[in-house]
Amino acid sequence: MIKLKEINIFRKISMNYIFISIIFCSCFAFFFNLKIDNNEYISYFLGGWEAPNGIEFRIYFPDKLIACFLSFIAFFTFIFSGFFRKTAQYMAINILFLISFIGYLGMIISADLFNIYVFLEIASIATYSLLGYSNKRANFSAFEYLIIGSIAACFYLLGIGIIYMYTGSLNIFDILSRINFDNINIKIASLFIIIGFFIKFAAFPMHIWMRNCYIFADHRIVAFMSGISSKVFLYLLYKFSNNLFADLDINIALNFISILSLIYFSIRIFKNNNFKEFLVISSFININYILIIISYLPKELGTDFKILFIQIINHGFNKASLFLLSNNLDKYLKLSKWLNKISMAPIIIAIILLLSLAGFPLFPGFTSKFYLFSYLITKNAWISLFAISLASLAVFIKVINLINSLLPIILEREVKIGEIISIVGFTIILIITAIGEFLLVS
Amino acid sequence: MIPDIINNLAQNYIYFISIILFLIGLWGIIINDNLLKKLLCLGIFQNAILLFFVAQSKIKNGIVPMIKFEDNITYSNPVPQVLMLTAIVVALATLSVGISMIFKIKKNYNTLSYKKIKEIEAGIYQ
Repeated sequence: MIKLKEINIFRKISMNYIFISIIFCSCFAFFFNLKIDNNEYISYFLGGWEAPNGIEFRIYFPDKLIACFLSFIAFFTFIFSGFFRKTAQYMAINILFLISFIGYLGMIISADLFNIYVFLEIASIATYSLLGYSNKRANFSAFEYLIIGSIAACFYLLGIGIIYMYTGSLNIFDILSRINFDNINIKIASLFIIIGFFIKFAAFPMHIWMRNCYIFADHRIVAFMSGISSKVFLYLLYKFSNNLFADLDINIALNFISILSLIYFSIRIFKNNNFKEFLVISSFININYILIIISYLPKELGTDFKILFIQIINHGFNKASLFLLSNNLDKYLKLSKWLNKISMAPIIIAIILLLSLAGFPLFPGFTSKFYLFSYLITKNAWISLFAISLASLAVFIKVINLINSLLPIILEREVKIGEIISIVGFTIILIITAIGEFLLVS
Repeated sequence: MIPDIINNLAQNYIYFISIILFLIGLWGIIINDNLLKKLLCLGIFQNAILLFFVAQSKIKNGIVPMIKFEDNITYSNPVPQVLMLTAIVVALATLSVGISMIFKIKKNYNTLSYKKIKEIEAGIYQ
């Protein structure tokens, strides 16, 4: 039998270990940032087997940026969720958190199709358990996600099976030299892979699992998931559309689906009273913004990537922080009698983040929307532009409604000096980020 | 025309079996009301893809890929088989997580019917 003291020591060690490893990941990602220039890449061979035979990790210019962003979001959510210390089995949760994080990172840097599948399943299985632990409703919705997520993974596996059948290779860059896109079976295989990704990042008809999971699961896990999960699959779609499916014309389909879903969600957003549901629907809207950008980007890895990257980081950071605050905010909106006991800083920070989400000037949300609009105008994409402005307007009206219901609570109370310092600090960070993004693109 | 199709079927019957299993699995996941049956159909669905991969690796008159140091031997392709070993483990892990979730669902709701659970949830949350 292990004594209670020893268990406590194990807990401390595991927590420190995870903390340190996430910091190491961030440092390595930053190191990649310094080392790789625009058209270069770093390649790793595993087990002494060179590329077509063995597994290869290949890191390009966009991969390093996304890897850096993922480690930052993991670091951020891990610290601000208080190391998951208040949960019952927090040791297991920490380990699952780390496993799913490794899975998502691996998917981005791997250049081997089957290796990507294995990382996908590692991340997904850890995510199913993470989403399901908190309460019975979360458990049920995580089960729904398990079924539909496994179907998606199987579709992906079937796709790479057919590609392996016709090319005899699993390395993406080796396949490119052998693939023949006139073959109908290759087209079907690509369709299977794309459907798998569509289910995983919750594109329009397959989005219901994400709504249920995000509303009922533990808000700290959802913060991590909303920042990372859908972004990874969107990025993989972008990457594949640039190398593996470069000769396939999927842009029209992507555009059509995203326009339809933007119109649907801009109506759907007014039919809810729950704060978390609002966040989820705005996530759907942002996923479709990213889909529209992917459909208009030129088919060359890295060109005009900054517009996509700014959209991904702004939305990921914004949603992760809003989901971390969402539990408090739900209480504010429902039970106003508790208000005297709780600090006002989170509610004001949430208002600032909501303004950023709606695209208020000076904040990062405005930067990403500005570049999105200007990029689409240069491409003459008027229908997409109409759909995006419709959805933005819907989000803006909803945000103003929400702030309207939150403002009377703030105005009644005095705010302490410590709270003011944290609020001002946070706002300055957001403004500096926005200015930095402006400098990055222009 | 027809003899061609029959010939094709006879040569590639294993792919047709895998397609049929695939469709049975997908159909079962969609129409079954019981969660455990849904999970079982997911298992069938995954096995269909395993079969599809392993069928690729078989070469006519090919033997098990173990080195025999003799001339004129055709080996079957070992790569898909090795890949499927990994996929089997992954499928097993998914199914075991699913079964543990079903165990909890049965404890919480005292039923495994998808419709009934949805009705209970609709009563609570609206």
